[in-house]
Amino acid sequence: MHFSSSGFSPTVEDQWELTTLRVHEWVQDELFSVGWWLLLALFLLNVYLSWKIADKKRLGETALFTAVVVICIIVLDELGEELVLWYYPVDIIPLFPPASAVDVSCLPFVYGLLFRIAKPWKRFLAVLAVMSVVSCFVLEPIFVWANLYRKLDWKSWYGLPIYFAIGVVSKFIVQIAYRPVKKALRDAALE
Amino acid sequence: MNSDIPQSVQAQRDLTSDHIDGWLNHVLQPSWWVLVGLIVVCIAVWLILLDKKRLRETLLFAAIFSIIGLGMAEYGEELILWDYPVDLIAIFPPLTSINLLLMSLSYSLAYQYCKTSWVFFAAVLGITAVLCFGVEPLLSAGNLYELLNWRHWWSFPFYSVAALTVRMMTIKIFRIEEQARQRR
Repeated sequence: MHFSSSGFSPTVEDQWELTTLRVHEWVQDELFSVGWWLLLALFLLNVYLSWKIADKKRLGETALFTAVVVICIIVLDELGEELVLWYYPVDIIPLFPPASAVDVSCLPFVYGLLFRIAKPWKRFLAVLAVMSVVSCFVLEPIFVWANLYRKLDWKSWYGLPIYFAIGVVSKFIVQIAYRPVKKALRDAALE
Repeated sequence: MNSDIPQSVQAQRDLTSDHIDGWLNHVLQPSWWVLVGLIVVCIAVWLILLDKKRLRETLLFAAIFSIIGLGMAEYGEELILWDYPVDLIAIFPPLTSINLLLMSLSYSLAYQYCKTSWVFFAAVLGITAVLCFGVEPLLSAGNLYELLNWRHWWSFPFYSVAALTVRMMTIKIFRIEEQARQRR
């Protein structure tokens, strides 16, 4: 088997060009750079913290919430990267997902923390709003300053409703999934 | 544009414009409608078959599997192992690919129906065989899935191992939860 794009459609040729460029740039400029080590440390730290703060008595709910958050983030991040709205000058791995550490570790930890500390919807929405503002106007600028994130056709505040919506959708899906169980518990308590 | 923007950003721009051009050729054409129909039917059947009482487990299985599946599908596309010639939306082809959807839905139903590891194991082998030797060749014939540097049967071990691993993870998560509750 050989990886070759010859004889295929122009789309496949362009895909192969993109992949080889990404790997090339990664090996040349990103791997083992300061930013790369920083991202690796962030990735490991946030995976550890996610496990530490997870309420083991609600691990099923927490895992479902986190998994839905991860799906939303990797899909939206990939869509933004493909539309060239932003890009990441450094990544732990060269290909998918676009920003490995942030997508599957840092942001899921932050959302998991909100899920743990704010169980009722009202409080959850309040802390989620704060988290969205902090992400857009504090964390993103820090990542831009550290040269780990670049905005092309994008403004920080465009992300505000998106950060908020990811939390709402994920918590809502958990609520739907757990409705039958909670109803059964209520019925049992009434008897 | 700034000169320090890497070449890969321009390559991404070219690729996305290819995807959009290709999509404009297919959108609202018969093959695109076939894809829409398949996606709607699969999701509808899944929703009907879902056991509401075990929704939390089945959804957790489906969610974890979808993350792994998205990764597999995207890596296959980026490494030009396969391609999705017809897409529901113009970008991120794996997201709306019918193979990935079918996998998440069928394996999660197998998780719901199979009570023991052995029954699940047998179900996974059966489903994977149908997917790799029946469904995917049909999708290729219908131009919804094109193999580039890949063979249909090479997918067999990847799909099977992914499904078995996700079941182990799901069961482990609920076991830890159960133990934590008993310790209270």
